[in-house]
Amino acid sequence: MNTKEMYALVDCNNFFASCEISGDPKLFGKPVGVLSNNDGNIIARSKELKDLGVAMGAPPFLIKDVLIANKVELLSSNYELYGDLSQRVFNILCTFSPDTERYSIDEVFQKYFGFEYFNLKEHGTKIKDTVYRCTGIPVCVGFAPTKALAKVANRIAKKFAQLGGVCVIDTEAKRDWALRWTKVEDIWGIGRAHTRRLDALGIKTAYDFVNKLPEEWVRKNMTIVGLRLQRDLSGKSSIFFEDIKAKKNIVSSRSFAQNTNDFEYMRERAYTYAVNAAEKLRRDNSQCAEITVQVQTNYFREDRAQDFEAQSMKLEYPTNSSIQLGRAAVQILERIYKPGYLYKKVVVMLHKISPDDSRQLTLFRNEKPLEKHLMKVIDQINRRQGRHTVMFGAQDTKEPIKMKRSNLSKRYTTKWDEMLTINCNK
Amino acid sequence: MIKLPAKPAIDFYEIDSSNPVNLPFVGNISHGFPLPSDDYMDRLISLDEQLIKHPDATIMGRVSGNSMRDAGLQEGDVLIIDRMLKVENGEIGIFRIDGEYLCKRLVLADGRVELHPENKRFKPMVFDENCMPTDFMCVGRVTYIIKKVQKL
Repeated sequence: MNTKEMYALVDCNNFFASCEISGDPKLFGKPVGVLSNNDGNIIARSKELKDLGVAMGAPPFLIKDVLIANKVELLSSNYELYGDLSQRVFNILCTFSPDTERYSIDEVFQKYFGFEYFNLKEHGTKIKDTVYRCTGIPVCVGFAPTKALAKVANRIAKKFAQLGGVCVIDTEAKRDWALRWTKVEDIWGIGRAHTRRLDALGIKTAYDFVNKLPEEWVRKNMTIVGLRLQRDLSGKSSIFFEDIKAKKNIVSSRSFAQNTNDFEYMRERAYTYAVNAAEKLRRDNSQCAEITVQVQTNYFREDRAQDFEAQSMKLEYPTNSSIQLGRAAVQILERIYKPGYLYKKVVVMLHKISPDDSRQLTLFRNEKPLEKHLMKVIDQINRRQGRHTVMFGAQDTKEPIKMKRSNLSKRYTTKWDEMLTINCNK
Repeated sequence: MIKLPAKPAIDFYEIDSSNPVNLPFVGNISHGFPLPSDDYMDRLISLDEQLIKHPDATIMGRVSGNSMRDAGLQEGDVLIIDRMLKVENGEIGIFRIDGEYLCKRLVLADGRVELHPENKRFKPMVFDENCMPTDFMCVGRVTYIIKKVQKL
C-alpha cells in the first residue's frame, strides 16, 4: 500500500449542534436539536439527542412528548454562526497541510503527500485537539491513501470511541477490515437505487463491491463515477478534488410559513430560490445548463389532495445569471401550478453544473455580457453591505426578515450586540 | 470618433478588496516639492492586528458582574479571548464550569486547581482529585480588556 501519498477527511461532529453548544455553555451535555428553515424539521442533533432515538428530519410536532420529557433544546438555524465557525475550522486546518479543500460546510479534505516520516495518528490527534480548543467544535479525522478510503476511515473514527477520533488506514489488513465493516449503503456516493440493485446481486459490503464486481460491470451500470469509486476503495487513487465538486446539483428550497395556493406568493418564492441558487453557482465559479422546479403539498396531510409535480427545462446556454434562472423558474412554475392544491413548498434545482470557463459556444445566441457584469456588481454589493441589499423586482423585499426563526441563538462571532456573556458573579 | 469594442481586448483582473489594508495619504505627487515626511510613511495602526494574534481562535465576551473588579474587569467590559493560548498559572482565563463561562485567575498549587476572583467579596473555587465539577473546560486566555470610558 502506498502510504507516501495520503488523504485526510476531517469531519465536524454534529456540526450545527456543536456550533450551538460552543455559543451557549448551558447546552453542553444536553440533548440539542437544530431546526431547518422556518423551524420545520430537526436537521442536526447532538450526541445526546441521537441517543434518545430522535431521527434526522423528524418534525418536532410529531415527537412532542419525547422532546418535553427529555427537556430537549430546539434551536432555529443560525446560519451566520455556522458559516463563520465553518470558515474558522477550515482556516485552522489550513495550517496543518498545504493542500486543503473544503468539501461541504462541515467536511474538509486534505492532502498529506510527503508526510511519510510523520506519525499520522499523532498528527490527526493534534488536528483534532487544536480545532476543538480554538473553536469548540469536535472533529474526527480519517487518513487513507485515497479519498473514498479516507471517508471510510473517518466513519470508523466516529463509530469507535476507543480510537480517540482519529483513524489511519495504512496497511492492507486495515483496508480489508474497513471494507468488510462498511455496508454498501454507507459507501460515499452510493444512493438508495444502487444499494437495492447491488443488494439483489449479493453485494452487501464495500469489500464485496470492490472484490466481487468486475470493472466492466461497474462502468456499464454505475458510469465512470462508480468505477472511480471502486478503484478508490481498492486503494488506487482515482477521485480528485475536481470530480467531487463538479457533479453536485444545487438545490434551493424552503417550506412556506403556511400552506398556500397563492400563485403570486409562490412565483415570488420560486424566483427568489432561483436567485439564491444562482448566487451559489457564482460563488463556486460555475454555471448550469438545466433547471428543475417542483411543487410539493404537505404529505402529512393525508386528508388533502397531493401534488408533487416537477418539470425541467434545458437552458439555451449555460448560465449563472439570476435573471435568466429566475425567469426560467417562473416559467416552469406557471406550467406546473394547479389552483386546487394547498402547497407547502416549491423546490428549485440546478443541474448540469460545469465550471464557468468551460462554456460551450452557441452559434446564434450568447449570454448577454451585460448580465455578467451586473451579477458581479450585485454580488460585490451584497457581500459588502450584507445579503439582500440588492434584490430583484420580482422578489419580495420584506421576505428575508419574515423567515420564522423563533428560537435563534446568539450570532456571537459576527454581531457585536450578541457576543458571549462572561459570568463574573461567582 | 473611435468606437470602443464591445468586449475589452485586455482582460482586467479584479483586486481582492475583501480584507482592506489601511494606507495613509501620501503627499501630492504631481507638482511642487514633495513632503519630506513621505519617506517615513507607514501603515496605520490596526487594532485587529495588534489585539488579535489568532483571528480564527479569538472570540469576545461581555463581562456581567464584578467578581474580577480588582483586575480591572467591570460590568459591560469586552474581553478578547484567545482560545489558541493555554491559560498558565497566574493568568486570567475563561473557564466553562457546569454550564457557564466564568472568568477567573488560575492558581495551581499542591495538586489543586484554584480559580480566584479579584474581589474580596467572592471566594476562590478550589478543585482537587476529590472535588471536581462535572463539567470543566479551559476555554482560553483573556488577552485584552476593552472599556468604554464613562462620564462621572
